[in-house]
This record gives sequence, C-alpha cells and structure tokens, in this order.
Amino acid sequence: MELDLGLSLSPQTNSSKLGFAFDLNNHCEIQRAASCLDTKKQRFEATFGLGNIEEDCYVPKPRLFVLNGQPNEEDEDPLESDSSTVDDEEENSQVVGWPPVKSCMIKYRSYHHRHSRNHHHYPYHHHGRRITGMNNNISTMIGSTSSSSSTTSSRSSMYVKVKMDGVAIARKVDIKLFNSYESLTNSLITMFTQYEGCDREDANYTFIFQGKDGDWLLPEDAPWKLFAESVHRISIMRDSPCAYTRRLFKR
Amino acid sequence: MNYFPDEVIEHVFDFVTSHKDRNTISLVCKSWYKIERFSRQQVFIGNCYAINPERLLRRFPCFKSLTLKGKPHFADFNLVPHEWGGFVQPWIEALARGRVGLEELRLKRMVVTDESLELLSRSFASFKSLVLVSCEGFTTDGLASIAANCRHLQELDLQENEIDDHRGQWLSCFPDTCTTLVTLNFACLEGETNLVALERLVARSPNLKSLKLNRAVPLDALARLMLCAPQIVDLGVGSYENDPDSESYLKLKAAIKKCTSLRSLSGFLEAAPHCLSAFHPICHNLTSLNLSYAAEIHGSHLIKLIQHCKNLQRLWILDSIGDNGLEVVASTCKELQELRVFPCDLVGVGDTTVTEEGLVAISAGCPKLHSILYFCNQMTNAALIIVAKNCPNFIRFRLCILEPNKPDHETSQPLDEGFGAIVKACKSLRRLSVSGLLTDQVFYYIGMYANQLEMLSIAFAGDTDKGMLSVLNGCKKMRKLEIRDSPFGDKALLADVNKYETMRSLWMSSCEVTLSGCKRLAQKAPWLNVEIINENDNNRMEQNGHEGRQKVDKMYLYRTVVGTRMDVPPFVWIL
Repeated sequence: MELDLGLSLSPQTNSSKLGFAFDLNNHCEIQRAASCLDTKKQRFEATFGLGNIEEDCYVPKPRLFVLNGQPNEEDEDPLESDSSTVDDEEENSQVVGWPPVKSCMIKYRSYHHRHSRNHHHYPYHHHGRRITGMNNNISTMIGSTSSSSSTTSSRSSMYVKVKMDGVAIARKVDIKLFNSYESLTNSLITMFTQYEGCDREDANYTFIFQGKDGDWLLPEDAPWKLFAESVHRISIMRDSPCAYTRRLFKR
Repeated sequence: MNYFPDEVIEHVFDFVTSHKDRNTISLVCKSWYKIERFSRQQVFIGNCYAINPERLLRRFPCFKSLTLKGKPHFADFNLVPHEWGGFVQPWIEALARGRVGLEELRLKRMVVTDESLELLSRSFASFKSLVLVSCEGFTTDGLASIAANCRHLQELDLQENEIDDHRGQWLSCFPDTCTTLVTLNFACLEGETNLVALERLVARSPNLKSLKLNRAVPLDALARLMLCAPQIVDLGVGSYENDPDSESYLKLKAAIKKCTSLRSLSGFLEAAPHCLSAFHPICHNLTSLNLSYAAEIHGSHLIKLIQHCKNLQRLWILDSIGDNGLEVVASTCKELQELRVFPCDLVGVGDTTVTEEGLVAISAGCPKLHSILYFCNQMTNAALIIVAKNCPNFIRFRLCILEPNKPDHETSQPLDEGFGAIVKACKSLRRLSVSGLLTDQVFYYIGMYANQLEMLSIAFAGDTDKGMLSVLNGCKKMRKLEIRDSPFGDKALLADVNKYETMRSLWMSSCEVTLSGCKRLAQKAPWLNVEIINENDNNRMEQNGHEGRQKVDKMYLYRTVVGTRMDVPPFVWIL
C-alpha cells in the first residue's frame, strides 16, 4: 500500500544542495549543475526538451537519456492529499533572499499591490509578495491577495505523483513551480535523497513521465510547456540501491 | 616626545574627524594614543560583537556619538533569523551606568526595544540625535518616550525599520517646549498619524530641515505642512493622491513654490502621477530624488519630472523607467553621481524593465557617476566593457541580474570578461556585487585588479575553491566578504586563516563549507567567532553521525577581542 504525501519542495533545499536557484526563464543552468553533480560516481543522466532554446544555452556537457519501460502503477491511492492544503511556505518557487531587495521594500510592494487604486494602470502582471510573519525560512509567497489556484491559469498548481524505485512513500510535486526538465529532475532527486537519507552520489537516475493518455514518455519527447500541461505521473528508476532499499531487500 | 603641549595637539586632532584617520593617529606613539582617546568624540563600531561596552568606555571615556552595526548585511534579505542578536540594550545600559554624555546614537541592523528607547531617553540629558536604520523590535511607544523625554532632540531619523505601529499618540508626546527639531523622518511607519499634532510640531520647529512623512499623511496635510516649513531642504512626501482641481492641490502648488531651499525629494508612497507637475517649479534645485517607493509613478509623468531635474546628483528609481527613461536621465542629469535602479516586479518577468542598454546610456551620459546599484533582466560583456571605459571612476558597482546564473544574453558566455573590465578600469573600486553566470575567472580578475576593494558580494557564482582563493589572496583591503550559493569550501576557507584578522567579517551560506572545516578554522583562529547558524534543525548537526562531512548552511565569522558572545540563541552555534 502506498502513501502519498502532498509535499512540495523547499527551494532552500535545492539552492543549498545544488548551489543554484530555480531557473526562471527556461535558460539552462547546466554549468552550475555540472560542477556540483559531476563526479565519476554520479552520472545523473537526463535530457530536457527545451526545443530551440537549447542552442542559446551555455551547455558545457551533453546529456544522455536511458529509456526503461515500466508498467502503469495502480491508479487509486486511498490517502491522496488535497493539493490546496499545502502550506503557503512550500508553494514558494523563489530562492530565499533573492533578488536582494530589502524586506521593507518587498513589504511595501505587497501592501501597494493589495491597496492600490491604480492597479489597472500597472504595466505588467505583478505578483506582490507577502512576508509570512517573521518567518525567515521562506520569506515570500507568490500571489498576493488570492491563493495561487484562483489566479490565472498560468499560476495554478498542478500536482503530480512521483514515485521513486524502492521508496515506499510516493510524493507529489507542483509541476507549475518548474520551468525545465533540468530543474524538475534535480529537485526531485534532492527531495528523495534528503528524505530517505540516501547519498545522491550512489545512484544513476532515470526519469520517465506518464501523460494523461497513459503513455510513458521520455523527457526529450515533448517540449517543457506541453509536458507540464499533460504530465500525470513521474517515475524515477535507480540502478544502485541505497541503504533503505538494501534493508528492504533483506526482509 | 611632543614639541607642543597636549592641549595644542588635541586641538589639532579636533580637525581630524574620520575614524580611520583617528585610529591611525593613535598608533603613532603612546602619547598621541592617550591624547587621542580622551578627545575622541565620535566612535564607530562596525560590528557590535567585535568589542563590548565596557572596553569601549575604558578606551574612550569622553565620546558623545556612537555608531553601532549589528547583523550582517545579508540580514536585509531575510537570510539571518530575527533572533540572531545585535541587541542594543546592553550598550545603552553600560553607557548610562558610565555616565557618558551621549548626544548621538546611530544604529544599523540592531534589535532595539521600547525598553531600550525608554532607558535611552531618560539617561542622557544632552541627547540630540537618534538614527535607526534597518532596525527592529520596537513600537511607537518607544518613540513616544524619546519624544517626551529628550528635551533637546534635534534628529529623529527612522530609515526602513520594522516598527510595530500602535497607532498611538507618539507625535503628541513632543512637549510644547520642544522647538529644536531639525530632522524628523517617520516614513517607515505603517499606521495612522495624528495630523494635528504633526502640524503643530512642524509649526514650532523653525530649524526643521528634513521632514519625511509616512503614507498616512494625505495631500492637504502636506500642503499645510509645507506652508509651515518653507525652509525645508529634504522632503519625503507621504501619500500623494489628489484631485488636480481641488483646493488642496492649488494650496500645495503655492506652498511648493515657496520652498526654495528644497534639495531632496522622496516618498510618493501612493501617488496620482498626473499631479506631479506641481513639483516641476522646484525640480531644477533638486540634488537628490528617491522614487524607489513610488510604484505608481511611471511612464511619461516620470520622464517629465526627471526632465526638469537638471542638477540631480543622486537618483533612486524603479526599473519601470525603462531603457528609454534612462536615456532621458543620461541626457538630462549631467551631474549625476549615484544611481540606483530597483526592480518593480520582484518576480522578474515584468514587461517593462531595464537592460544593458540603459546602463550603457547612463555611463555615456553621466561623467561624474561613481556609485551604481542596478537590477536588470539581462546583461552582456560588451556592455560592461563599454561601461568600464566610460566610467573608470566607480567607487561602488553593484549589478544584480535578476535571474541567477544568467549568461551574456547575446553570446551565452559567462560575464567574467565584463566584470573583469570593470575591476581593471575602476582603480578606486571599493564595493562590488557580481551576478549572472560567472566562473572562477572573474575572481581571478578581481583578485588581480581590485586593489582597493573593501566589500564584495557573491551569489551563485564560481566553480571551485580557486575562485574564493583568488579573492582572499589578491584583495588586500578586503573587509567584508559575503558569499551565498557558491561552490567554495573548506580548502578556500582554511587557506589563510590570518587573513580574517584583517577583515571585519565573512559570511558564507549554501556553500560547500563543512562543519569539520569550520571547527578546524575556529581552532586555528581563537581571535575569531565562527558562528554556525542552523535554524531548521537545532540538534541535527550534533547528533548526526556524519557531522564532520556535513555541509554548513550558514556560517558567519568575524574578528573580535571579546570572545564568544553571551546572547547566542539556540540555533546559533559558536565553535
């Protein structure tokens, strides 16, 4: 029996482990990823379907993808959690303390956005930020007066189940928080290895995605935007077990 | 041996006011040290934990002005927990006990309580000036004590503090006998303001030169205030929503015309931009304009306003001005020395923003520019090279590309060469912030060329320890180094432990530094406080079996002569 947890990712985890932030505009951040992850032991391999944006990116190393067929998992999960109950903090896709603007200025923007009578004159689609109390861990939340699900469709959450080999508890992540396969896959690996206490160096990870029609896809099969709209489920294969799965096999 | 009596030497020293120079004077000989310490009037303490109040009083018994800084700079961006430290209370207690004739207190990033303010207001009969910048922990009740008890108050300057506004009557706590105010800045207060009390206060303050209002002061009140204080030099407009046909607006126009001494304008916290033209008559006198909170002023109204400001030396603006707007600035403001362009849309995907073109235009048009803070969406090496050529006089150069790791958007190369050109050309550069995609190469350039660099901010940059090592080895005058989310680790941290004695502080967060590395450093350098800040799991670091290899989330180290501080909260571990 599988448990589902509706947890999304803390960006702090990502930035501290990987040394870089979410990429906001579909540009590649491979350079940083390469230096952090690229050891002999970890051959994290995935491609990313960024279409013709790839040529513009600074890409020091090419990436490979390995296909691994997997039958569909059961569709019903009795303990499905409601995405709308996810904590405000965890919807944050921004890096803590970035951009480096003083908190009073951020607070002012949020106040202004909430109370502005000239809102319709605002030249661009502005999302105010709200300081959640004196909380320093996650300082802001996207979406000012309304929760993210009630704003325009480009901002609504979209949670998909993620299951990693050998890990009993599946997770849910909000696909809308990411802009590229790279950031998604990196974040997922971080999330699983952090919670399971595994070493991320230990394993080769392969990702496959299941679309709404049930077919399993490779990341290179679809451009990110299309993928983000139609992905239903994600599965991560690992070919070298960590301590947890070793214990599991021993039983 | 002195050729002159001590009094003469002391008189000569009176002309030396810079604390750096006075520190140097005191190193000349014992006699000068002694004369200097008894005559020092203003003491500057850049890190409140580098020394304690008792030692301060022992060395300088006669000072009148104290400046204290608490939290590290990255606290401005929520990277330091609120309870980390920087309490002013023990300082005020010690100064009160020592019967110091305190007249001025300037605090930055410190925790100030109402109790501290109350004690301050009662302990120093000659107290004149309170300046609080980016502080927190107090309410308007504390301000009420200052207003009520400081008989000779001249300056109350609250800049960007987090103040709990109890909507009390702190302004009415100024006694009727208080007529000495020169500066009154309460722009950061969120709540209601007693307008009657404010007007009466301004009316009885003939020396008032600087008045910065909060959002709760509406236009008609502004008009009345300006009529009471035509001698005003520095004005922070609160709320500026108005109707161009109203009587208040006409009154305001008349009042503004009389303020011929007005040199600095800020605020416009809520503004109806089409009424800005009321200020046009005095714009040519302005040397400083801060519209960084004026989110509603943009487009043609903003440009029209700036076109009147031919003598601006300092301009703080939002990026909604756009590259076109910056071109207008470049062609109008030939005296410009300092420019700050802040992001309007903090998510970074706004329609109107500034690019490298705006920066190049400014550099070409403003020959006196020496300080810049520039938030933008994109940058190129070519642009930075041109900027370096146009402006070799930069003292402060802070560039923040909103998206971390973004390369040169034309060539997809890292921005190493661009920043390299800046540090090579700007021989007086003292402060630098880098951003965008950067490799170790940029740090090689910084170490090689940035000889005067005192403060460096690094985020999401570099490849290996070599980067940080280049900086530590090359920048002889480095005082404050702050690094986040960059792959620098123990090797760089431990390479030259003595370097940290020449620096005020080092901040590293989300880097590759490990706990065992920090411990080794603390062992080698007992004159440093090496603080590990770990708010998420208080005990995880100690209990985890792999603790040596575990990466440290936030490390802050600083030189100190008084050892470990006593007020450490549970999530801070001093090694």
